[in-house]
Amino acid sequence: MVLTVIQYLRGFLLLELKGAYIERFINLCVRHGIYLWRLRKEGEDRATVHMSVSGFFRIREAARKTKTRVRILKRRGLPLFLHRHRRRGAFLAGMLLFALIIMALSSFVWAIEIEDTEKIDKNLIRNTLKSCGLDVGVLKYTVKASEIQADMLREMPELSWLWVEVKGTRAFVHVREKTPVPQMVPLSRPANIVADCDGVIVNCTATRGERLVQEGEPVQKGTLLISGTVETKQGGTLLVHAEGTVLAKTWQKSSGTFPLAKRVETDDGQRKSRYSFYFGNWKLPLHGSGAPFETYRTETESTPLRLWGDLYLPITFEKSVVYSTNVRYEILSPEEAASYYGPTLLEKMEMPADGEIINTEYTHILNGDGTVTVTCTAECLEEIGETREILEGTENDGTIF
Amino acid sequence: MRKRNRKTLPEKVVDAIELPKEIVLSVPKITVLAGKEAFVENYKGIIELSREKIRLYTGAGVLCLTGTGLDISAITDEDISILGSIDKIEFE
Repeated sequence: MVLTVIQYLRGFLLLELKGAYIERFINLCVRHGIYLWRLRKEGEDRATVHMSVSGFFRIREAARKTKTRVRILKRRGLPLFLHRHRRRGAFLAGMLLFALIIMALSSFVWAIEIEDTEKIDKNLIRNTLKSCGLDVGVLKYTVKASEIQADMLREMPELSWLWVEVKGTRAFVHVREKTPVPQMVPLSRPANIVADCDGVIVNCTATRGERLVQEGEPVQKGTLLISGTVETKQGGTLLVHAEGTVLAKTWQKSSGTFPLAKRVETDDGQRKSRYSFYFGNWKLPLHGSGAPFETYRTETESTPLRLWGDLYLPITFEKSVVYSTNVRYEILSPEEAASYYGPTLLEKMEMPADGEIINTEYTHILNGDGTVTVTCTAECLEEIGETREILEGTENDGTIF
Repeated sequence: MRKRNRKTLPEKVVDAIELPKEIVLSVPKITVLAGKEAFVENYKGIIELSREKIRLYTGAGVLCLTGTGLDISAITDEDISILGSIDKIEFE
């Protein structure tokens, strides 16, 4: 068994026992309900043992009966500490005040963490939570998980499930979003497949309906690819719900103007460490502020202070290391500028939902004022078929498949 | 002394109902971990104590633990926990 916080709080002593009948002494103590630990027999008539302070006051009879001499080797524990400093009123009052402040501070919620969201904006959830009563700085005990859950689900129909759990001073909000039902034309309604953007057909396979385009054919947005109007052998026409896959090459372009130079920042070796405390959002710097170097970059590490695992205090300790840097500008040729800045254009483009980019190309035009206009062309291979319902009033003979 | 191998009537009853024996019959239950720790539940008293030999009085007779560096890590009126290098555990 390990020395625990409880034992320290109650106070205990390390005793030296001397006598011929130590075993009987132990038996007597134990029979009076005194708990002993770390008992070690040092010699024929000597032993050391740990005992609680409350037990110590009851061993006089047992020691007398067994002729055991008891000596205190060590005193440990909160009661002894308080007794030793009983004359220091301000000190003890300060300790009490500290304990009260800690207890008070840990009765509030200081952090709200929202988990498992994919599409819903976290800030929206945070604001709605605020109106339902969960915000940074509220008393923990006013947060009723079931009430908040009910209110939130009513306020935000995009959620299918929500749960609030307060651990220490942090509130964890778990969320499940409602998946929107995709708009689909029901299979019982007749439909065509049309192109949802411009492109060149790579492959068109119709599993139902009549294929109207072939490989290599250029199409525009809205062009009919697979028709739901099918001619029967008897000469009439049937309306079907067309199905199939149509793969095509599409292109996306994006342009931007960039300078013929790039900014290169390197550390030059000098650095300074800065420390500060944040109380809530209020910053208490431990150093002066102001830029230490002409050009610099900063790396910051923030640690929220906490007690015992989950109890976070609203106090954060921040260490910032400022690295002095050398900034220089390198001249780029138009080709170099194109390949340097090109990828930023690519990142901004929308990726096709069910396709992939197979080729990217950057072209550039030199402008007279020291800048270059870069155009990024991305070639994608994607599914361009979109099912669109055949509506009444178009030219059919009304037979439905 | 009764032969240790034959079960008494109380023992048979407790077995049949599957109650924990050490609680009903006041016999010791010894849990040994790797020859380094021994936890004796339900002992009655310490007879002899030294770093090489610890003898306990129990409901099933005298239990003797022999070894080196034997210390008592905790002791209450019913259980005792012994740490150290235990060489032998025997009933006398």
